[in-house]
Amino acid sequence: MKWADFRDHVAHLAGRLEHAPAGPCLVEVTDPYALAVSLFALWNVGRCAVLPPNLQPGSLEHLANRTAGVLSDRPGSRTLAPAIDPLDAGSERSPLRALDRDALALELFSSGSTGDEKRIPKRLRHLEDEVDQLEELWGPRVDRAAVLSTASPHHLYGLLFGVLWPLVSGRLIHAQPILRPSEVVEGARVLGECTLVSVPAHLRRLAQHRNVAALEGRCRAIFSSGGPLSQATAHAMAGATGVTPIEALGSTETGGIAWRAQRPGDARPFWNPFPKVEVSCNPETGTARVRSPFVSVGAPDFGFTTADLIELLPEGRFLLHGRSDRIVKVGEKRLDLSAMESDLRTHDLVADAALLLVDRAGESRVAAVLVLTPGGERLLCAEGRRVVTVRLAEHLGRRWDPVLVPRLWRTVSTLPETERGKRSIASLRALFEPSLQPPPASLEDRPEVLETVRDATSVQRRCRVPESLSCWPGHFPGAPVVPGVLQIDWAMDAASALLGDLPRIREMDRVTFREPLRPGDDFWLRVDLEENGWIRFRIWGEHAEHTSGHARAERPGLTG
Amino acid sequence: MTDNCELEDEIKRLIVEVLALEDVRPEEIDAEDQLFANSLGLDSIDALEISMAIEARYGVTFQGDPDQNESIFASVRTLAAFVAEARQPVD
Repeated sequence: MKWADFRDHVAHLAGRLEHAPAGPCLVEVTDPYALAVSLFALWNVGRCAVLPPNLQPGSLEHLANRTAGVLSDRPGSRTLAPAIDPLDAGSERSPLRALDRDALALELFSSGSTGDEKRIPKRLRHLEDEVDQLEELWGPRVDRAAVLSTASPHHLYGLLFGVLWPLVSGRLIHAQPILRPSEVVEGARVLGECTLVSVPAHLRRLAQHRNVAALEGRCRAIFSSGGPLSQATAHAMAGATGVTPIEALGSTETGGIAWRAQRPGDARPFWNPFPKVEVSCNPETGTARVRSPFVSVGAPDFGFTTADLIELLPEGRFLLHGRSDRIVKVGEKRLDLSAMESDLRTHDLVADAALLLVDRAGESRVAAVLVLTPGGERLLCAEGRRVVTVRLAEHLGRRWDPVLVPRLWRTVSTLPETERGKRSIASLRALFEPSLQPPPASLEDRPEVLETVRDATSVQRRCRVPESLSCWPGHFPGAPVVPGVLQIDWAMDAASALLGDLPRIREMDRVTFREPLRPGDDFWLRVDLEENGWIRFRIWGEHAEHTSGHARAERPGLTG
Repeated sequence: MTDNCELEDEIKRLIVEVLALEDVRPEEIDAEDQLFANSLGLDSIDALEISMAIEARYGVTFQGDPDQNESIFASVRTLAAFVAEARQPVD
């Protein structure tokens, strides 16, 4: 496809749009080339493009109802309005005009701190100024190389780095989306030389790809954004390609903020603000305050305060120290955990919900801990956990991007709290320990057993927590408690007296951590084998109920 | 069509293992079920993970045609058919 073809496509689409109802237009277009045609055609006729936060039917329907029209390259678009295919040539052409820098060009969405999707407007100058800055910073370095982008062009980063910058500066882009490592390797081979625009989840896999060495000498630059790139991936990519990845930091509200390149030996890899960006620290919140020509919301003189906690270094550089709110990134998608928790609580089956990120198969994924309603409990008992979780996943899938939907689920009778009445993240996290099988506890990590009573299906032990446990230094400093995982380990140890073998837990259910268990505490531990193969356990003291729950072993251990 | 039974079972096991799926046993996956639009609820990160694992295990390569890949990744059955055809003949 040549420049003349692009102008031709834009002119034809603009011709059709001249006759469409006026007003902002939803752009549900996934191919980068068709997206570029759509944007320039809309801008040519003075219309604003609305990019959906995701392609879930619920979001699209909602937005289609609020926009004047829909552009779509997806067969079977699920929006109600008849959609226009951007590459369908019409008979009329619209003359291409010089664009107005101050025109409203784009509307993007970002999850705000209240959990609602926030509408972020961008004028053409916001985009043009950013593209100019990218060219100024890295134009000479990437030279004429074509761009291979695996980043979604629906987000500001993928749109700027992967579509608008190359297009405006006359570099080739790949017309269709690229995702797989093998496609990147093959694309670079065909092109001879490229600029790679990607995200951490994709680079991590690319670095492990068996043919990654084929990229050596073929990348002029590698960009990453949408979440922190691990040092391991940064170094692996640098080793394989000879090019150190450049990370860009930004947000929909502020546009680009800063960049960095992590090199081996960097103890504290800091961020460099883009030349036109001024980053200060909001003294009240400790978070970054950004002033730049790219910030499109808030008061321009004051700047926009983000939720990124920062530490300022000399010369405007800074370090990032996580966020001050509950917004997390999964894949390259931003998620407000509080908002999804509220959404879960609207479901009939759910009384309360807590979400957190856990590591699954090397990737950060959303995990849910639920308190079910009586109706939910009944369904759980009758049909099993999977029926419940599939239903909830479907409910969330209407509104949220698939990568954000929880992949791990646990049910408890109450959400664990700390002594100060706050949610206990440590106890929540313990519910997702890999298969809940810690390495065999060392001798001193066992309770002192004072007395044991057992029959065919139950064991009850009176025990005392020893004064020192190997896990205590880190759990928690100054306030030692027995980790939930270890308590479950003790329960399974008691169960092994009945089963003859240490059970390998397949799943856990209705686990509740109430009062913490401390050094020197006396407690009772009781384990019952239920007829359905579940192991019921309970840990309690004279004045306190500590822990209870159910576990199911890998192989049912009930053999009489 | 269904003479890739063993391969299909292998791929089911691979999917459950690689994605560390909970509450799903390999034998519970229907070879004809849509992989990415049904109750398994797999997403784009999972798709990448599966394609990497299959490339590594069977020495096959997925090319860049998104339409073709979409039909290859439709179900366990279509994946198995692709692998059976593309992999190097064993001895």
